[in-house]
Amino acid sequence: MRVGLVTSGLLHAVLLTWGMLSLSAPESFDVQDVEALPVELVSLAELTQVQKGAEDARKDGPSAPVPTEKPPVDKDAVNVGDKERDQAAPETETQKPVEVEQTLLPKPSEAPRPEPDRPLEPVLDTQPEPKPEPTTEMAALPEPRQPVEPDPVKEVIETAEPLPEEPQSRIPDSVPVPAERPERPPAQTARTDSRQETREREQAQAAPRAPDNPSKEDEVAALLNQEQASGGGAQRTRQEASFGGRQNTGGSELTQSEMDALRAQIQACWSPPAALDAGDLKVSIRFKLDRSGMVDGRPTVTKTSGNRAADESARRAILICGQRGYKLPPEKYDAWQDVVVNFDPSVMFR
Amino acid sequence: MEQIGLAAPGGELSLWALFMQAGFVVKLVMIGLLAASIWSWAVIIDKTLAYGRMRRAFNRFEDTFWSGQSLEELYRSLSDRKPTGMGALFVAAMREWKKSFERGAKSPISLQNRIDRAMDVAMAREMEAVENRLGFLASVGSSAPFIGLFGTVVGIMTSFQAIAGSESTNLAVVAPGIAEALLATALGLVAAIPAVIGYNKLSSDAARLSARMEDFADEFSAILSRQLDERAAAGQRPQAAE
Repeated sequence: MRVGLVTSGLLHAVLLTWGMLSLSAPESFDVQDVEALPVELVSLAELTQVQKGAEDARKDGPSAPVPTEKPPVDKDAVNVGDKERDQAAPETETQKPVEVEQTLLPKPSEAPRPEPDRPLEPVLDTQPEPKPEPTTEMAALPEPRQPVEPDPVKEVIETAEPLPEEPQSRIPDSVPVPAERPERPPAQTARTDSRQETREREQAQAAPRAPDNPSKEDEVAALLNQEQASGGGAQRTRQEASFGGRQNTGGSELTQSEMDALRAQIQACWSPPAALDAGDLKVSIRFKLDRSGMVDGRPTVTKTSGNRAADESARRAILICGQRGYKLPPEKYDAWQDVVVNFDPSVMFR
Repeated sequence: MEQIGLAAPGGELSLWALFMQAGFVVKLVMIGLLAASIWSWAVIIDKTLAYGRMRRAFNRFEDTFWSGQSLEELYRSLSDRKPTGMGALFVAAMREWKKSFERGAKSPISLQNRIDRAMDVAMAREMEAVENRLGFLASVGSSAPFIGLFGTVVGIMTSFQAIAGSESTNLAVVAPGIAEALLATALGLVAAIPAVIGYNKLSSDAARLSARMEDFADEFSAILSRQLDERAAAGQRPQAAE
């Protein structure tokens, strides 16, 4: 017996050791990455009542709001803010006066006025320029001509009225310009028409800069000074642009569930004549509703079933339920002010 | 069994880790099943060796018995050492024969009965030695799966209670406890399967040995009976001549 016991014990020890070593840690399963399937519950209204949105809006931003009638921005508003009417904001207690650096354009009166007789010289200087035109056709270089600073010149041309002002003026600045001129002519080899174009452009640039309207000036200043709105003003919405459809698709139509609700309200009052075959009783009734949901006028049978009792029962159903007024979304009054209801008992008693 | 301690290189689910994190009852069940397995293998090995020895001894005895050697000589050579198997039957029968003739017993019929009975007793004694411990294999084979199942049930119960305590249904939380509990069933099966196979094999071997011994006993009884008849006839003839 001892031989058997010792052999058996040894056998078990060997087996267990082998089991410990080889079966110690089973390989864990290789779990493959299962891609989660995104499931989204979409109600019908989301498809039928899409609001217009902006294409470049943030995707995780708020959904497009129902459009509201936005009053146009007041063109003549002077003050910055959210209010509809342009008004200077009263200082509230919580708000301390802030020093706002306003970058106003210089008033025309402050602009340096050159002497009336002197400025004519640069004008004369610029005019004879076409003279040194060479015959070689080279690339036009209109840029070097820009340092001329035509602004004061233009102003002078426009306001030809001589204004005897402070003797200290920019005359010395404009005077050296013609002195430098003679060095450049060889480089200015453009055709005449291109030069005319640049001249026109210069004029176009110069024209809007002339601050003729003080209120427009302030408007520009208002645009530049992006301080916190302190009330008043005419810029209306601060809501971000959001994603939506290309256009609004009938935000005022009744959704399927709202139609069902109306159907259920009418169905509760309808008791079709019992003894008749259900298939014969298809009635279409048209009626108008006022804003409170009450039946307006007398419902008319647009498609009769051929059975007078059935027609009357349907009409009665609408009137009975209309006594309390139908419960419908008031903001969609346009959609339900004129209703056609099809009465079909075969569908009703399903 | 000290080797077990050194070998646990793997992660949480190695055999040793599973054993160590099991509850008290499950550990007890596992240890018991391991012991049962060791003991049943010991029985299987021991019996297989013993049956082989016995078969060879039977062959040798039959060879000498049928070699034409005098039964008296054979008896003398066997009775010195303690005989087993067929030798024990032979010695028991010869002892009874000799005793009867030394005392001068007359009736051959009662002598025949006595010899048969002596051989039956000797054979029953021999068969008991052959078949002992086979019952252990039978009971291990039938009960070890149940014991393992019991360990599993207890282990799963406790692990579910632990899961309820941890308030997580993650499979990573559930799995180790169940794996540990299932280890008990695995051990039960590991113990039971060899025990069942070994029991069937060994019991059929034992039946074959016992059949061989019975055959020998019948043959020897026949030989002795013939001898008795021959002696009776030889005794009667002188009487008839007188």
